Amino acid sequence: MEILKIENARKNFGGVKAVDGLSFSVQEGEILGIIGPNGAGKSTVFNLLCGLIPVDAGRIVFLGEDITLLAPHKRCHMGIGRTFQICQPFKELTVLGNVAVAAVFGHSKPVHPGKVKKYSEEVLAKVNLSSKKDLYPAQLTTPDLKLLEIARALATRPRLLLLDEMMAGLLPGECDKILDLIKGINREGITVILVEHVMRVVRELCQRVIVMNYGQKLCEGCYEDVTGDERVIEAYLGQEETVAQ
Amino acid sequence: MKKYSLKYILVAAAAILAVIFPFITGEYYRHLAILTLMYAVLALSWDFAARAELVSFAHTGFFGLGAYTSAVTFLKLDFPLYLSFTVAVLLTIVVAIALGYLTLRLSGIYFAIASLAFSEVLLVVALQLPKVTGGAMGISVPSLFGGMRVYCYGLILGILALAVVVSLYLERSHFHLAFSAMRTSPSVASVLGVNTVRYRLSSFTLSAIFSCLAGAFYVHYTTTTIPYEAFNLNIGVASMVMAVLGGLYSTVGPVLGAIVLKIIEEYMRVTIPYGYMIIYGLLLVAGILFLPKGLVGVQNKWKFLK
Amino acid sequence: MVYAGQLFGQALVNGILVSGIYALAASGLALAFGVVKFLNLAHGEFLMLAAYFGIIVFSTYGLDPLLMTPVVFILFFILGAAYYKALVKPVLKAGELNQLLLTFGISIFLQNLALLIFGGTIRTISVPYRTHTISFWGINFGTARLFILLLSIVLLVLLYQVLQRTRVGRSIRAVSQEPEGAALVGIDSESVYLIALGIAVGFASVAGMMLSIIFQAEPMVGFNFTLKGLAVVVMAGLGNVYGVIWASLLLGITESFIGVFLPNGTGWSGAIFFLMILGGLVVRQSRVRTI
Repeated sequence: MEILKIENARKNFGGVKAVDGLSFSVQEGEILGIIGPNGAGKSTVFNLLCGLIPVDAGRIVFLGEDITLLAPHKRCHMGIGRTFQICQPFKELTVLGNVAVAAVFGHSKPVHPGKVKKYSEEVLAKVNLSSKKDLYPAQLTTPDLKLLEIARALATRPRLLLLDEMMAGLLPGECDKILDLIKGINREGITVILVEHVMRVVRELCQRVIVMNYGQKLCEGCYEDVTGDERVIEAYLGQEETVAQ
Repeated sequence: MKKYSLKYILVAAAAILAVIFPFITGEYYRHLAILTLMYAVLALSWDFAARAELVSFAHTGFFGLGAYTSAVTFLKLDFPLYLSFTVAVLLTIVVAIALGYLTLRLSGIYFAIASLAFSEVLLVVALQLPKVTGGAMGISVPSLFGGMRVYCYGLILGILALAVVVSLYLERSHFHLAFSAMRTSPSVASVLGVNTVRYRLSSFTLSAIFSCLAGAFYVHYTTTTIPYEAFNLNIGVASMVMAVLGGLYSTVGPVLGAIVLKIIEEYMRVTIPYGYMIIYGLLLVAGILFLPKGLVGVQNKWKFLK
Repeated sequence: MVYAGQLFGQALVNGILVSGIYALAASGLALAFGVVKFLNLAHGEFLMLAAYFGIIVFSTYGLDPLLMTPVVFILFFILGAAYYKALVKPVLKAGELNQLLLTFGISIFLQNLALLIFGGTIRTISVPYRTHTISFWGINFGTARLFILLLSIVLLVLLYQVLQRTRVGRSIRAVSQEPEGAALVGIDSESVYLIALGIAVGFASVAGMMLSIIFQAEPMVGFNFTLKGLAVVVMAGLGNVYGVIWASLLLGITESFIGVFLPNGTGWSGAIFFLMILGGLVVRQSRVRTI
């Protein structure tokens, strides 16, 4: 079943075409990867999907409904969850508190007030952050902050999870842990879209990959097809990340 | 455990003192205490808006709106006191929601400017409708409770108690989660499902309600007022500084700030006739410059009392 | 018919004349916000200080304020730079709201300082040409106001030229558009900020000197101009220095027309420009909105 569809989305910032006529669709239960050189517009796509930025043109359809004009919090209630590339924890709240926000507000049927604490603790257990639940974000390490981002998004009971460059700044071992976590999340039926630069992760996780460049979809297919494509290699030439990692 | 008992003892002592205060002091101090309590309500009301990351100057406008609405309905429509207050609050709610819808999506500075503009517009309206408001000459109402200060004290203490209850509720409920989230990052909060506009509207409306109540009390207590007094920015500034210096986003902070600053202000006022407000300017500037991380640092001061 | 046309013309002319001061006062605000990203609510107080300065100098030494203006500009330029270093720089990283409260506090402080020093009385200068007028087609042009308008135009054109043509101007524009990029090409943002605030405060002081001639100086006049400057700047788009001119014209002319044609108009004109602020902000929501 098609869970998400973007039709001809456009977004300009000043004179810059961040997203230029982008169209793709996502099937429920799949893990889709979006890759592309820096400045290709990948993060903008996420911002458009979760509603933080309005599209200049085009449509977004989620679960069969047109959400192009829907406010971000309503999209969250419908089931779109998102993490941020630069971790943005709520610094005034504890780890548990951070997850509690998502638990209380994240779904159209909110968790019962009496059960919020327990529910949040369960979510934290899923990402292995239980031991740190009473710490403040300032006291967490980078990998833990990323886990917190995921925990928060999970607490909103999403059907679609948008992961924005989760692996940036992580050691390979830490990458692996999150990789397994994402696999587990997907097994539970949550559709995942990943924006990534770390190709190993894309190769291992994504059944399908979309390559973006200059705000447009360059090509689409499974990892091997896409990375073998001449245009993709050309787009990446001059970038620091190598395609074959 | 020791900290908790200390906290309860302090709170109980303060509550007892607050209740018996008017009975154990003379007229002058009663008057001062009444004004202080009124400012405490105002400071708390400003803090309500601040919790949703709204630096607002609108409380000045709502103060005057409360004052004039209550006075006008009392005088011209012969409403009993409680009805005047109620009408004032209802009108305030309507205006606050309308203003909120217009301006709450604006970010920090822009919202602040808009709220300032709002208060100033109300000032001009009050000046320009002499048939309703008495214009620049002002409006007069009979003295509250026939001048019995003890009852006046009771009324404002009751209003403050209500504000404190609301404040505590905001601190202990899901509002606290929403506000903390919104203060850190409204975008992230909204992506996690927080309806930021609705929460801003709620806190803004609560802020308006209590500013209005303070204003309504004010006009009946002082029996006369003119637009330049009811919509005087100095009142708004004073309550703002009280909340900031006392400790933002807390219940104790604004109240304590009101008490301390009113005492200082009173001392200055009897010493320098003109320009005693300078102390507020100075304190605001010093507070921003020298408190670590400006306003956020102050919050930690009162954490142990929470 | 002729009379109505004359009234219309007079209102128009008065509006245009007064917009010169508004433009000058507002451009300082716009410059500070556009370049340093700092909303200086105390801006009007510099105006007020300059106005008092002009009055004191005139009553003590008999020196004409308009002649003193270049000197005052330089003095206040330095004051502006010092203001930046001492008070603005520390809070630049502390967030807009802190900046707002800080400058508001400074504004309150300076207003009350003036109250303390000068009392509540209003001061004016009586320069000989104060009430002199010229007449064209039955419409009076206050000579002093006309001169002030011309001076404002000259200064604003000068500012525009500096921003477009000189190296300093380009540096200022670079820093305001792209602070990091500008730093990367070696532009020292510190000096740019110093200059920008110096100019901003300098312009405010010139406006203040003009004020002392055609209006009056009192402790609250500064705040009044801060608010009017805000109205202009908000309508032009905060930070847009070039838009200040048409926004000031709009404000000045509207104010004048309301004063003339609405019964009890001068009283309402205050509300009008606040409504303009509100309207301007609400309309611009798409640009200034946040979630």
